[in-house]
Amino acid sequence: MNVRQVGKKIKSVSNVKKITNAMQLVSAVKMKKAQQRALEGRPYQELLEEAIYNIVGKAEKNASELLKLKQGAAKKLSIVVTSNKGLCGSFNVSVIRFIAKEIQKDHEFVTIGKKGSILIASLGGNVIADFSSLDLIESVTAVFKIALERYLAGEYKSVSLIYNKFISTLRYDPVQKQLLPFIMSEVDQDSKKELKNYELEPDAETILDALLKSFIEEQIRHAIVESEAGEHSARMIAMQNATDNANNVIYNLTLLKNKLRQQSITYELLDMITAKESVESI
Amino acid sequence: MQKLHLKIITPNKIVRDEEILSATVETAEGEITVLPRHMNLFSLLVEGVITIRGERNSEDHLAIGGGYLETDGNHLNILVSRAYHQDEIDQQLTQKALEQAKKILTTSKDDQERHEANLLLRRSLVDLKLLKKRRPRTH
Repeated sequence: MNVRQVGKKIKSVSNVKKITNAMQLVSAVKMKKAQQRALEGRPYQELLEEAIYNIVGKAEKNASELLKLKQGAAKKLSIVVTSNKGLCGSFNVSVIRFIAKEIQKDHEFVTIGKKGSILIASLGGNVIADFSSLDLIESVTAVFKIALERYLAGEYKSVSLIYNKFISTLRYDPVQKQLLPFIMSEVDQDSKKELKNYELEPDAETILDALLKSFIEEQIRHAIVESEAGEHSARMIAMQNATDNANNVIYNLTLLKNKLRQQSITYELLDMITAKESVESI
Repeated sequence: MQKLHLKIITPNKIVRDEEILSATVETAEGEITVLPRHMNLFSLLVEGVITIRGERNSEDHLAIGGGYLETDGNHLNILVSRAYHQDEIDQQLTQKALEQAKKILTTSKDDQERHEANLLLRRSLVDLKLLKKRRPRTH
């Protein structure tokens, strides 16, 4: 390699660095927004949970179709939330690795996010529907509808939700949540309060049914928001690493460039000196 | 005078969090007004306009989507899919949406499309109803 080639390389690496740096900044802003949204949605979810807890306690065990276990069906449905875009480290892969064991069995998938559907399909999983519009949040209702309809038709034993749970900027863990049939224990973990006695209008069954539906839909929405927060933080970290790495490469290449330049100067000097010596000795 | 603590919450944010005297809402079984010391009640709400009465007889109106109402006499929690104040609705846009929805309903044969147009129509009608309400006096 000569000096000019090294110079070119340094230029291209510093261009890459500019891009990764910009992406890191953009992701940081997006992550803040997604985090904000996840926080703002929390009171709604908490109140729904509380209400369900209060009413399920009073209603009969089989008040709603959504509480009953489906007999006969063998297949399971999983709703997998991933991202639409790559360049975010092991974010998508970690979700897929999490469910990799179950892909071969009688398992069907609904994916939210392009990357997940591509990865699952390449592993031989059965993707029955893929919702990867530009804005993932908009597909919540549609996803919920398809899952509910098929579940009520008796096609599936259970419906679960798999996504990356946002823990901190540096951490996200794939988790699995069962949506249908609805399990009570998830609700009463932290609400050990007294049961309130409510007058219910129109009646417990109608309300419970509607409540459970909104709650499940809300869970899907929440999963998407959390997954988005995780995606952006993962991308931010990945881009930060890329920027750091680019800095390192530039440092090393600059050293190399200087060495090469010095080397060529030394050679030229040597040439001149030997030429002079040989002329003088004659 | 005793007061109610009102909270209106949508999936996106807390719209209202304040002390009020009473609130009138449309439930699945008809319009009700919730006053302080109301009995414990949990009810389904339908799309409509809610009226909030605060101090000095001030009235405030909000358009809401479907949802739930929960009260124990001291607190009134309203969980809805959406809630908009009069100032947040644009009359022209709403009118436009209404006409568009009507057009789709008369021309389209696609069930899905008709369903969506129906929802849009209902929402626009609620919004227009809200706009016709008297605006709260600004103090």
